[in-house]
Amino acid sequence: MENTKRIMVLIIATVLVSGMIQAGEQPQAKLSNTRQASCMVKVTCDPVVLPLSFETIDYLLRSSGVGGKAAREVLDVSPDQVQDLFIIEYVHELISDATSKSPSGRSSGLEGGINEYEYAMMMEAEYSEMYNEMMNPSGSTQSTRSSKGSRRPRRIQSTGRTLTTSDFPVNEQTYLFSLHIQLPEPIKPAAEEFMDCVLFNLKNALIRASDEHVQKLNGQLKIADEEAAQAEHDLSRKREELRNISGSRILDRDSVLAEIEKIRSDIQKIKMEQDSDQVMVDATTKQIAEIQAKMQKEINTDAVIKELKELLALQQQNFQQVEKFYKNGSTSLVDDLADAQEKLVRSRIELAQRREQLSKSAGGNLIESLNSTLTNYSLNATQNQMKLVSLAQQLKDAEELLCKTDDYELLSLKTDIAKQSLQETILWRDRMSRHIRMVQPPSVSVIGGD
Amino acid sequence: MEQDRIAALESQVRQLNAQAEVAMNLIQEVLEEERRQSRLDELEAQLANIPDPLEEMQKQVDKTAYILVYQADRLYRELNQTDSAVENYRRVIELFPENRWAKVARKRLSEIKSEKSNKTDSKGDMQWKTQNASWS
Repeated sequence: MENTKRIMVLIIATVLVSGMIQAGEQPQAKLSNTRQASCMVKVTCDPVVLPLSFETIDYLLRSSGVGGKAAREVLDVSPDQVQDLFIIEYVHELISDATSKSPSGRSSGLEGGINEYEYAMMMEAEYSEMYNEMMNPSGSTQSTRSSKGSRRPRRIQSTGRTLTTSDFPVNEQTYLFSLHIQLPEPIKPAAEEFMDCVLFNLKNALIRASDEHVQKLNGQLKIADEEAAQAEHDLSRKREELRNISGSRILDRDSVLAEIEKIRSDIQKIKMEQDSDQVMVDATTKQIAEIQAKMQKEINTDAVIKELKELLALQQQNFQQVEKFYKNGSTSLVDDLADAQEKLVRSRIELAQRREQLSKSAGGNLIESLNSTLTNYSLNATQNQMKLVSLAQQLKDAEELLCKTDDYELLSLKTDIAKQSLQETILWRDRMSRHIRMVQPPSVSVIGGD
Repeated sequence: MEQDRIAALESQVRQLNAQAEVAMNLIQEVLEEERRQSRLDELEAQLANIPDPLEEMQKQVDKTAYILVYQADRLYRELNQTDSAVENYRRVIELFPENRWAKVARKRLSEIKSEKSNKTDSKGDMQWKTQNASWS
């Protein structure tokens, strides 16, 4: 079995090489002098690049770019005549789907799938069967032959199954068909050259389609790259703008409004306290001033003090006289001098006591405690004033922040959109890259040939 | 002889007694003087302990006026609350016109007034300059 496989591979390689060489040769080269040629062709193509079917293969082979071109170049006949120069018989179709495991993938024809070895064996068996049928034209295999000049789709008789295997890592379709060349008189007897050229042109056409597809994907990838770079730039710019607006804090309209409400409430509370303190300051100051005035008035108008002052003046005079006599030598007046001095001091004491008494009755003893109270209220008032200044600034800042919140929210929305856009673009770019990696170049292999 | 000697002795004793009495009187006088001085000192101390209510009151009023001026200074200089400061300065002048802090309050009011007039002038200058610029 292994040997058969190797032989098949060698045959395919030989046919391919010889086909390519012959296709490249000038018509003037030596002809094979054959009017019939046949081979089995295996076409593998990514369905994303070109969704092949037997109808499309048939059309391709008979198109002016493939069969027509070969007819013109090899046989020197009009491309219109190509319709009658060959017959295509459908042998097999195999679909390998890399995404078949995914929910959106195609349904598998065989639940367990088949491996490449089994597939090769199956293909070998079918090829042998097909070969036998070809050798026996009266067999049951149905073929299609188009009428001359007709472009209507040919009815393709399906003899096999559509196989799908999840073991293949890539997404590709494989078609097997037999190609029979039959050149009637007076066409040049170059059936083999014509067959090679047809297959060469078919391969070129498929490769061109694949290249175009890949080129298109590369273009899309480039656009996706540019879009991703732009989206990233937009996102970073918007984030920077957000930071500039908010000072790296999250701005929430409700929380800012709540903050403003709290500040206003605090201001109101402190203003009330301040008003209360100020009233107390005013009242205390006024009370002190009244006590001062009352004390001065009472001390200045008190009759007892007046009498005491007069008495003090008399005592003062008496003392001065006695002191004068004493100093002039009347030493016997020493007792009188001491007595006068004592009386003078006592009068002063009485006067001071009276003034003190009046001061107390006018409230003079309260002034000290009133001053203490005044100090406390004054300090409170100043502190509250400081708090008010600070709160006023906070309120101003919060109101400015509220204005910024609208911009912030709008910009946040834009940032979210930019972020989403970036995600989508990155996803798109990755998908493009994967698609490009997954695209399988088409191949046309010739298996056997007369 | 014996009698003469006795008489002399008696005379000496009398002299000594007289001297002792003089000494005693002197001591009594000194003691009395000390007692008198002590009493006088006590009275002076008592007098000194009685505070002059008007002086005390003046001190307290000084303190009151100082508190108001101090508060006004903070409002004016630290918190830039000129209106509240002016109110406090005026209160000091109104309630304690003779106090030394009332003089300070007057000085501050004068400063504020001149500052305001300077600002108004500079604003006027600016307006004038702006107007000139727009005309030119």
